[in-house]
Amino acid sequence: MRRVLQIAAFVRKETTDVAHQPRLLATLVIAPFLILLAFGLGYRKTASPYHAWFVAPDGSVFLDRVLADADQLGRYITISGTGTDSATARRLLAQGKVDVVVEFPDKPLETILGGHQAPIAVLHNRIDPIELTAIDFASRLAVDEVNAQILSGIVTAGQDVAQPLRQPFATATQLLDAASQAVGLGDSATAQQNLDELSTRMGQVEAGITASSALLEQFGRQAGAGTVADGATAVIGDVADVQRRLGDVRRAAVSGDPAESRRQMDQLHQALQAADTSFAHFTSVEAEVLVRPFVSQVTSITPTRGVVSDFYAPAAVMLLVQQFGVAFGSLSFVRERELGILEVFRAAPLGPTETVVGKYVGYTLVGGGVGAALMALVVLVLQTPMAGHWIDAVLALLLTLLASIGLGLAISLASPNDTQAVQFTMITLLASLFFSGFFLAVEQLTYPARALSWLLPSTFGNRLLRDTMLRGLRLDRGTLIALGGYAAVAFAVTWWGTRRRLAGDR
Amino acid sequence: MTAADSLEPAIVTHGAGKSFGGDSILRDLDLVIERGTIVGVIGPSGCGKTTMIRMLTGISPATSGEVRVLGADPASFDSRTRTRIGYMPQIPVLYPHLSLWANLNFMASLYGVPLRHRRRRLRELQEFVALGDDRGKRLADCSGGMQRRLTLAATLVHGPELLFLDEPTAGIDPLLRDRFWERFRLLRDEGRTIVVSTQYVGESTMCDVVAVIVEGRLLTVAAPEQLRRSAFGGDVVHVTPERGWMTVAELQAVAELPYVASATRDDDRIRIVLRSIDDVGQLAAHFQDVDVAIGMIDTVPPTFDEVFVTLMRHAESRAAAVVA
Repeated sequence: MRRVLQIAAFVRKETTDVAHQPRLLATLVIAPFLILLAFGLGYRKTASPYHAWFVAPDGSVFLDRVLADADQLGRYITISGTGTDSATARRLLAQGKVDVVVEFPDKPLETILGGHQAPIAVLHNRIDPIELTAIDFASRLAVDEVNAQILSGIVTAGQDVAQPLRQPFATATQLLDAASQAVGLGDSATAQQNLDELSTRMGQVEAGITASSALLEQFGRQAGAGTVADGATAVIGDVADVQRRLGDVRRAAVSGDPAESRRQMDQLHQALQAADTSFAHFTSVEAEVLVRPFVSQVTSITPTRGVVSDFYAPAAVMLLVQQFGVAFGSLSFVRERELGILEVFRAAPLGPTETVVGKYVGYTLVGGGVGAALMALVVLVLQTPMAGHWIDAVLALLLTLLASIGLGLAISLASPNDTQAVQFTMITLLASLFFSGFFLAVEQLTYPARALSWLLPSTFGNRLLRDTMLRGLRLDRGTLIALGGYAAVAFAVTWWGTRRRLAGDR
Repeated sequence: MTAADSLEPAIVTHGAGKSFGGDSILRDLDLVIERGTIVGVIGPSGCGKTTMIRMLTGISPATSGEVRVLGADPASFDSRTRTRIGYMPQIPVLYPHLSLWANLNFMASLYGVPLRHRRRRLRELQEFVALGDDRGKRLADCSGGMQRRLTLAATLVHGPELLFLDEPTAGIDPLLRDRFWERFRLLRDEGRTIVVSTQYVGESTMCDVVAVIVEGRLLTVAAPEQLRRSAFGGDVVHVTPERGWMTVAELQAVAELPYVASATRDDDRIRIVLRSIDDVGQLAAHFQDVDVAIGMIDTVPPTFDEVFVTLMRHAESRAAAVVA
């Protein structure tokens, strides 16, 4: 009975102690929520456009293209100006009057024809690593776009060269039909005449396609348009096959074997159809499709809205729950030691179990209330989705809170005074911002930095709560067991430390 | 408490000592404290009073010698023994954010005071320490004296049979201090044992036994009157000659009386230490015989401050003699 009374005493004391500090509760619940709300309302999904200055030689086709597409660039780039002088542009960048300077090469065609890639230089003054990555990424996309547009032009030109050959192809089919008919009638002279004409037409096609292919080879291969050039090569191969079959038909006609002549005629017909198909494919496929054969279609299988506050809200709740446990836990024993109450505990019939369990229950009640209030605000006011089960969310919160209280109490037992305990608490908060997956995914960290992540209860909590709220998944068993293990170890360490503290120098 | 317990002294120590690192704070403590007594522990600041109390409560057990408190070794007190002990530290040690009532209630729970009688018990204790009207007040908003009073109430909350009170009356006004001592005597009369250290040497007169500690050693343990007698070598009286002075021969004659331990000038008075206060009549007859007119013989004993100072001087003299 005494043990129950002692546990209840600590529960009542810890809860009353916190409840008597309404400002502290407001700081713990209302203030973080308002910060999250302000963040959610104020955050722009797209970055503000960069002010860019373009440098290119007079009459540059690149510059014309950029100016023509200025409307499309507007989301990402605002054109502050253009010029031919690189030094002026760089001075503007150094003075912070523009964010980005894009320098197009002077003689790109010569460089490309010389077998080298022509660089488009992008200069900037940004220091934020995330912005650096964004600029690098955007530059690659822009250059890819330029490459694609050039390739598209080349392919269109190649197709335009080949387009007049459509007529010879159509005539070739008619000539073959006429030759077949003449063979059937035993009119070998007419058949031979038609076949000669057919051969001439195929020769025209071959010459035209070879010219188109050469054009594609010259520009396209170096720019990575192999697929397009391969299309022309396929047509050339098919035409050569037609010419070979034509020879076979002629030889069969000379032999005087009508059956063999028909068979060879059929095969020539098939070869001509194949050549016609590949020619039609080469000339009819959209240049845009040929140079950009794949396009990405991104679809999330999660029920999230893609709102930035949705992503951060569960982690913010977990971080605050962790900090509640760590902050109150870390000051617990330190304060009692500084107040001298530990001296009374040592003389009293009090064991570590009653002390630790009482504190855990007390802090869990208050911390659970804080967590529940934050969750309610996040879901009801910020409209963050709760795709999974509430019970899973509660379990994740509870285990994170218990582990955090344990961590806090362990800090309290290890700290010689409350200043140091507060410092440890702040270090835990700082570490949590970087290592718990709050901003950066834990998977982006390498060991041993990642090991540090798993010393923080919020790392487990973030993963579990995001999965539950945003993905609608059940709690990952491995993470759940690991968090439970963490809480159990923290309890054991705290119990052992409390036992030592109560024993004093006994 | 068993029958055997009631026969055994509350506290027995043999050669007990306490060292921290290489420093010896308490040495060779031989002490027997009977049950149902108030034991005052006095000594200069830093002499080891608090260390002795912490040693006896089991908070910081002895590093040498033997200590038995309520029949058990304090180093291995079990919960039952701890429940029989009350300890009030030197500084007020309760929770500043909690109300006086909540603090008292917390301590009651800590000692397992049943809920049934608790409310009445807490009210009674709050009245005793004159805090009945302030039960909802936060401790942080109370004066040092109020905090001290509440700490005493918290120490008494479970009705311990052995109380260790480390300077319980420090910072308390004289009226309330009297109430405290009255309560201590009541507790003593109920059979409880109280070990109380005090910075007010005068409070020694309220104790049944006084232990004087100097530089970690127990100088003496005695009843207050015995202590006074041992400090001065007998009972002290003051005599004022009506003519305002006394000759050296007359003073020498008084000093040589068989029932007089010493006679010395003390401003315009003569201080005479009698071997027994019962001999005061003979002293009056002597002055009549030698025809020295005197006023009243002042039998008011010296204050305990004087007793304490005298004992300290004796101790210093002895120490100097040993060194010499």
